[in-house]
Amino acid sequence: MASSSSSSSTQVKKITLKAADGKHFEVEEPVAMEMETVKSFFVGNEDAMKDMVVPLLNVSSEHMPAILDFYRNHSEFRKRTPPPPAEEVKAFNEAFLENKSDEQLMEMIMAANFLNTKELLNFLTEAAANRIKNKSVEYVRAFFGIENDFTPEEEARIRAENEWAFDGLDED
Amino acid sequence: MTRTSPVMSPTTSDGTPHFEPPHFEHNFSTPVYQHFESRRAENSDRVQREYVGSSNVQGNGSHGEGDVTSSKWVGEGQARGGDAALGMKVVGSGGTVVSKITCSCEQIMDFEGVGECNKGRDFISGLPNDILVQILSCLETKDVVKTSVLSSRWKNLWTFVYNLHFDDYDDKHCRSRNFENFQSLSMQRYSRFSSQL
Repeated sequence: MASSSSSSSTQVKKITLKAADGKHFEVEEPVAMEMETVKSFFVGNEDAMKDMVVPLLNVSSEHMPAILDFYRNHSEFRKRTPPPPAEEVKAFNEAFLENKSDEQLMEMIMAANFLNTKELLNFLTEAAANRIKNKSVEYVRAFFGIENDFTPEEEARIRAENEWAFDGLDED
Repeated sequence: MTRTSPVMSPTTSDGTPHFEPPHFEHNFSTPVYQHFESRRAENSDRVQREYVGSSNVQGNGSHGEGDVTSSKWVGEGQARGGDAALGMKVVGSGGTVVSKITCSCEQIMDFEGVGECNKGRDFISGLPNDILVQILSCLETKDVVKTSVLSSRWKNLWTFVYNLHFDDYDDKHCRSRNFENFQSLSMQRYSRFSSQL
């Protein structure tokens, strides 16, 4: 994992990123440039490359290693010829999501949104969608902790408006 | 967000009507993260500071709110009841302009508190609308429509989903009296919701 302690392989230029809680991560330049937000720091400001610490206020250090791992692997997948088999990419993606709680997933979506990387954001939003697919309203509400601020009458009226959508759900 | 209408000026020398392109204000997406690093040092007494970054004017007047939301941390501020309303000014005109964003240090600190807000259970509602719509767009339309009863924030959100997806679409839906009116109702709601923005 990327951490400030990695000092070997000094050939590749490193960029230091600072997570929300102040922890530093040293990242290879091509990996860091996958994040548009980081890239925007340096565009037209090449002098800043040296000794610049990039603060990423919406990314906690908890998620940083996983996110960097995603960038590393996916940029490697893209470069490889012939392209890696779909199973390999799928296996990596599944392993990436394994053991991630819903809350962690949402925090990572926030982070991906902030870092402005389409690939990660698309991947995570799809994962979130998969978790609420064909579930009842009550399930989705409990799942994400959404507070219902409708009165029973209002809710009944909205349900009646689109009655067709509310039949035939998975039981859970 | 203001937008002046195209103006037909009668004063052109050759007698042909002169078409003036519409002028946009407050319409940009801009990376403005570079100054966060120094905010700690100067965090007190609500000093007004200016944040300058280059941005592209997006020539899309019909979609004003969305453009503002696409600037990441502005969007998050809005999602929290506009507690970080920013004073914004676009200077200059044309394809690329310089935009100035002024906000107090206290407001910057609010952005740092974003992480705190997310610790609450209702973290998904803390996401910006465009992300929620992106999540919904991966779902079947049936699931999308169902989100209208989650809470008042979600009531009309689904109308922004840009695709229809009927996977196990069966005859029953067609016969449902509600489904016949689905399209027209959706359009009505969309226009109502858009006008609220």
